[in-house]
Amino acid sequence: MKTRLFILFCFFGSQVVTFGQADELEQIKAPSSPAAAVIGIQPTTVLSPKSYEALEASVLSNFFNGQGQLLIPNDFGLEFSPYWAMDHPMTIQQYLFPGFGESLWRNLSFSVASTQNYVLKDTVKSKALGFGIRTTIYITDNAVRKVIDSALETLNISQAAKSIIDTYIYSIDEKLIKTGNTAQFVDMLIDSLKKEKYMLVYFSNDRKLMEQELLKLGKQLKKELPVYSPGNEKIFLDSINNFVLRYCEVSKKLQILESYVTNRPGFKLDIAGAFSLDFPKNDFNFSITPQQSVWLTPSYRFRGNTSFIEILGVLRYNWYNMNFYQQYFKNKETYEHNFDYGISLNLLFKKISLHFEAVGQYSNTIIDKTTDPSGIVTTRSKTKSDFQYVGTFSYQINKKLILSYSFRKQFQPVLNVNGTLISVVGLNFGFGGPTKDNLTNF
Amino acid sequence: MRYPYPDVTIEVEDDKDILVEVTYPDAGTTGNTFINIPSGNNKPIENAGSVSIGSGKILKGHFAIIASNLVNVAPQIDKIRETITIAGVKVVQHENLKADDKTPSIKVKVIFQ
Repeated sequence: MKTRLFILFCFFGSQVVTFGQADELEQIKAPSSPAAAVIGIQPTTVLSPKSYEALEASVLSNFFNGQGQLLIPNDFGLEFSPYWAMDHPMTIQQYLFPGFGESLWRNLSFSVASTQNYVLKDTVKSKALGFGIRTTIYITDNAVRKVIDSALETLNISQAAKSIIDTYIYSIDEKLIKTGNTAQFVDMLIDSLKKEKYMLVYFSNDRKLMEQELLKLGKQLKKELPVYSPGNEKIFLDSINNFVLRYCEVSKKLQILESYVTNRPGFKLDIAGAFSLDFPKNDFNFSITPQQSVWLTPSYRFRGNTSFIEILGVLRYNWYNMNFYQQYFKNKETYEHNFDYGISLNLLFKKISLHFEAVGQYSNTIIDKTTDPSGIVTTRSKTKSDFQYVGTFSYQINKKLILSYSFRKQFQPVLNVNGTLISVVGLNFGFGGPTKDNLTNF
Repeated sequence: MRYPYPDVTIEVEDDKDILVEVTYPDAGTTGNTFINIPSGNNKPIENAGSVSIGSGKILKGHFAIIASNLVNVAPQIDKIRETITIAGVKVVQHENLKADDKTPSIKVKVIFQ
């Protein structure tokens, strides 16, 4: 088996190199930074200031020199969400279930990206800026709302139980210091909790169940707590706190709620737009806009037993400035209007991830426009259709090792062509490797 | 992690209802607070809000132990903050980074006189 794997790995080795030279395949998803996407960079530095003051400081320190002159930093990204620059006290329900307009405003972010390596005529480097905007709209149906509400309620009950236990620990810890007897401390705690009417809620108002469970809790505490001695009060109380936190499963229930917040089931629409600004002569008095882009990415994440399925669609429009491309890329075939449309399917099981996407592209550009004496305008245009697909299979062998295979055919890129059909197998070892969340990016 | 705050003594007026108020300045915070009054009625507060724990006359000479357990589920927020006010007096103004602790437990003892 090991030998076969080795041969397979060696065979596909050359393909990996080819892939490295080709343009990256654009995935079906809204770019996290539209500004960086439109100038084709992955910034090495990304700043996300959390206040207007921090935004001002970030702009002044990165885009201006000491004399107040404009600078273009290399591979730099800046993202700012105006809504989150200020405090917004609100109930957890208001946070979890915003209305349409509120969702639009909350998720709105602006991005700026810059590079000193925006390539002209294949080799000449120029300075360029990208400006972007994006937002996300969530539409939560009643069924999803019930699931999230239930996760929140479960967490709140755990927190309530923890708070009750905490107050009793705190009220008797002074007595503990006097007696110095751990067993006596635990007995006092359990006796107090048995009498607390609010504790019943944690045990579904079943008094018998509560008494049985508290008895078990007492035994576990006596077994696991360190022996108290004068001077180790902090260690002792920290141990109880950690034990009770585990007992009430606060962290576990928080994880469940967080997973609903970050991977919210239901319908989501990502909207993004961006344009680039190039300085071909590296002179700030002369600039040109080579590209403008708009992304619309609707997606649906299933819930319950089918929560491992996510379906995404994409509508992407790229406008290329023909004056720019005809001047700086005379030998490249460029189309002014480019529409991408496609669909992607993600399946994520425990150790296996499958990803498939297919995107069609329709491009057109006007090559000739004439107006006859009677005022009738006649245009000639050229069009092109293209298609790309990618399939990825990943298997997590263990925490540090992932085996993945992908096959793909990509569009003929506007610039730089090194082949479009790619097949890659790879083994990823540990450090900073893909996680379950980003397996499809592997 | 435990965050025990120093004991606070509050002067209360006999004829006034004593309110305990919990506020969260940030979106996405959820928690539960329990007020344990060994001499009287214990009271819970679910999330932010306020509750009366009795008149000053009843509470005078006694104490309350308050414990709060918090989390914040908003990815946009990097802190967990809470303010506890009793009879108009801020007794706790808590703040910790989520990166340091995602499930803080706040405790304070309030003595009424």
